[in-house]
Amino acid sequence: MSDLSNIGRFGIGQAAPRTEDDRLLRGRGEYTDDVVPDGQLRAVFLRSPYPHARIVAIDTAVAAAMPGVARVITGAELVAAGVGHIPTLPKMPDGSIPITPDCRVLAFERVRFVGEAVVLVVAETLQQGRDAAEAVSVEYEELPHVVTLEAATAPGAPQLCEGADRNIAAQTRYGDKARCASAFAAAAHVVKLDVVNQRVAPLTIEPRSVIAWTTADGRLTVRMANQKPSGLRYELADHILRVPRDRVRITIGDVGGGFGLKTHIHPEDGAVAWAAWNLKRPVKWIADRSEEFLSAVHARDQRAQAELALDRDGRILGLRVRTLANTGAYASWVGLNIPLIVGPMVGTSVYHVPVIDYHFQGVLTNTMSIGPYRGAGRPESVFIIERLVEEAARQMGIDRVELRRRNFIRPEQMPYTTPMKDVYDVGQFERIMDEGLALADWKGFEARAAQSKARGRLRGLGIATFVEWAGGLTWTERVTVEVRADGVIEVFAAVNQMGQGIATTLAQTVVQVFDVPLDKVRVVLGDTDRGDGHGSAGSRSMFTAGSAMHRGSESALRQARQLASQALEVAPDDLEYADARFKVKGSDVGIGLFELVRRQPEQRIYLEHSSAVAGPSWPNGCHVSEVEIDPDTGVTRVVRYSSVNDIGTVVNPTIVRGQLDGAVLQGIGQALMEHVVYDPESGQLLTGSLMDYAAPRADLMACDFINETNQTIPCKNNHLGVKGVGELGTIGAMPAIVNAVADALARAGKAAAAPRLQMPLTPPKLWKILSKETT
Amino acid sequence: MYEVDYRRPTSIEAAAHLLASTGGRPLAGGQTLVSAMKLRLAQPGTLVDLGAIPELRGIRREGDTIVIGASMRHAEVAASEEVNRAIPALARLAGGIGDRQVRNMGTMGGSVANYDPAACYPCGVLGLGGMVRTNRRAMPAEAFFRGMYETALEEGELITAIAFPIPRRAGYIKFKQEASRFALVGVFVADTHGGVRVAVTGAGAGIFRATAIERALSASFTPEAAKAVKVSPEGLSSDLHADAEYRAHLVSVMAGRAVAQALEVAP
Repeated sequence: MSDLSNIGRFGIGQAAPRTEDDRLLRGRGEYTDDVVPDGQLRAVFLRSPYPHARIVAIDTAVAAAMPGVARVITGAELVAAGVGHIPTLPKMPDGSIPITPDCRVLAFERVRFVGEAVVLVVAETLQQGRDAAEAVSVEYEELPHVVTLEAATAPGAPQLCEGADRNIAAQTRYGDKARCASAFAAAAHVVKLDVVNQRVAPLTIEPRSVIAWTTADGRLTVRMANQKPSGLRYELADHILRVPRDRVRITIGDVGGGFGLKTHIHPEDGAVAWAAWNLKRPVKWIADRSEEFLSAVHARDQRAQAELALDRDGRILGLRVRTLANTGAYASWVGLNIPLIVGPMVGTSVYHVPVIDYHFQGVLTNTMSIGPYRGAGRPESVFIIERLVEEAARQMGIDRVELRRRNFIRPEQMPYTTPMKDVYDVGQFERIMDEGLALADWKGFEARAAQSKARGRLRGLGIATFVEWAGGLTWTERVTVEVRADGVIEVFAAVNQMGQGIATTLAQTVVQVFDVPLDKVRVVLGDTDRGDGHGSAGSRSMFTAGSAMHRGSESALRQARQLASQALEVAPDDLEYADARFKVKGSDVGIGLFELVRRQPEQRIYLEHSSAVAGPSWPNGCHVSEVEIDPDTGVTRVVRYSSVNDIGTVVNPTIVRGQLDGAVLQGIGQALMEHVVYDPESGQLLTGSLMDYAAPRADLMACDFINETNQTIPCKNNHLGVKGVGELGTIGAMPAIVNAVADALARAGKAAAAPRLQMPLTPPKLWKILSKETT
Repeated sequence: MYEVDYRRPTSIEAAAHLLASTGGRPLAGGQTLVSAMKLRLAQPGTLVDLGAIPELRGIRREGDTIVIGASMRHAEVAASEEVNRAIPALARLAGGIGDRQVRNMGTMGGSVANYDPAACYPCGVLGLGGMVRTNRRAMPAEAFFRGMYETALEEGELITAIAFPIPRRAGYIKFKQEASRFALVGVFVADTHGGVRVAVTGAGAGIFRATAIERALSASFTPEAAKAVKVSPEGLSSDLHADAEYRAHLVSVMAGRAVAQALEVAP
């Protein structure tokens, strides 16, 4: 519809500029650090220099007497004050209880990783706080440590938590072991891979930030950078401070990147909140970059032994996966949920796999805890199956596109129940692959490879076809809609904005219903006093809150229609609605929406609305990459990247594109360069700054880089038909890139090295393969 | 950052005097020192800012040399017509340091005095056979650079300028460490009137001349000749980012590319 009257309306499907961009680009954003209440104190943490040690004694006397110091707080003091710990997953699917040390907001009796917060100093200024922290003396007795999965599970490894045999915190098993063994016994070909998904840092540009203060009514307000304020309030009030939840208010302003890192409480947040609550003064903590590397959750860090059984035609017969997942020092709710429960859901991805045999184990180590990061479990699982399929094709001499074709779940099998008992509502995986191949000009590759060869470069072509699970395990969201007399429609949702543009897209669902310009819709987010909900994680915000917002708006409009029918003394069905105005059909008689509101005694139409989607969404895609390797240096350059993503209805194509592009870059980053490394000998973090932790940069996009959508296969689990979009890129890019490098190596006569490729594919690693290894 | 006394003298003499009397540290562009101070890794009692000393500025040609004042910023050297005409490889080196912000603040003298083992400028000074001038003396590169982060500079001694002999042709190629974008290995090749010089940065505990490659290039100034030299990994660095063997290999490869650049710019 190219109706001129629609300009400025920006309903569903239109590329509305993000409502926050003007403000943010002009430096008028309000991040947590921009909030500076009178009398603000600064928090500084003294951190453990050891990976594992007993805290023998802490002497805070000198520090406490230093200028400007308001309070020096230790873990023992907080335990004595009744402060609790961060809750972990209460129970595994088989009913067993996870075994993990309690994650306290300040270390108590023992430190379990380098960088763990041990003492909190609260002072008038940051410098005074730092000076005082240096004056605190902590006596440690070092204990044996382990930082890698291999070391933690080796016989004779130090036990990090009582009861945790081989340091296994928890485990899950899925499938049918015996039936799977039969499938493997009958297989014509079995592919075995050892697949490492290395530890990475979510690395938001805005570091963790929190400021807490008490108000005159005796409540505590915690303003911070977070994606799930309601969940945070539960963790903070119920478990850490142990106060009634209504005594705590969480507010969120602008957030400079979340990627999952900011979905849950970190220990420092709890310590700062407690300090403010007890000092009755505002206390602020802004992590510096070193603290982010040391003590913001890391992600991935899994090692899988994976096997795929196929018949002689390349049809998959069974999948067996044994995964060790590093949980870090404290096995957290998400640290267990992601690798042991969420990841397995997409283990068989877009393929029909008759039988599975999975065993996943979470392993305690002396490292920072593992948490969510864009993809959270799905990149790990999809990477495994895509590497297996790639190797199966190569080893069996079957074209990899053809092998995929033979194994795709077909549209007529939908709804399809996976071996994990999850149900895909829709999916046309072969069609998406064909669109992806066309966009990538798959057939033109040989000519491009010849050009690369002429320039002395090895070109490789990689593909990943995959499905992802989006929705965040919680299907309900609650919103409020208020049509106001001043001509504004104000809506609230408990999902949050951390750079992904959800405020704009939520507003577009409102515009769609009320037919008002976008700037008449005010979206309020991030305030637990306004309402509770699940929040933003798992690519669920538009899917759940967007659906609820659209339904809530429809409901409010129905209410308005009733009121209009009374005002105009006609039946509701005799009214038509457009351009924020009710009109009696076939006449000029009518009333504007806001005029109607002004006539109401309350001067508004207001409703709270809660609605649930019917289940998860299963976005899927075909990602294709082309790389060039310089055999002289081992440098891999991504020269083409394209993808087609089935994400159902698109509310805002520009925002969707940004989501896809950004996540793809993060996926390429993990494939080629990112790696959090602890020194196994000392337990020290070796990648503690951006001087040593290689992060992907925008120049990676300086190639043929295009990520497209297919919008014709709406999700059936929500009435808008939307699917999650935010995590497809990280999931697709890793296998697409690694498979491309494997392809380049195979073309260079190094096929034997392909199955052993492990991320990150750094130049020295590839040069060694190219210069040393023989086929 | 700890509390620090900040001074901004306007002459070399005043700066030298302040440094001697306070035991403070000279501050040039601050791209290393200020970051270290922010992390509390450096704790100077006094900072003597050299930024207001006019004698430390300027780029001029003196006979067969280009003389660059110590306070000249990387961006200024990169943009200098004089440098681009006479030693384009040096302009390119300056233009490839850090990012735009670093280049607009960082100075040549600061980089050379700091002597980071992966920095670009020391490599250029050694490669071109530059003469380091201080407020007390002048030293050739070989005498100036000592161990890691260690130079011949004494207390109160300041670099005032560096004189770079104009080579027949030269090239500089840096293979960047992916995270820091410092040189994992950087090679400066210069075909000078005193012979071919090949200087290497990033590969070891300090910069050094790759004499085997120099010999090969003296016989044949071609990329192939450089690339064919097998450099020994002995004494080179192994760390998180690359081992000594890879670095040794890169020395030859980058030398070859630097030669190609030299030939491309001045055939």
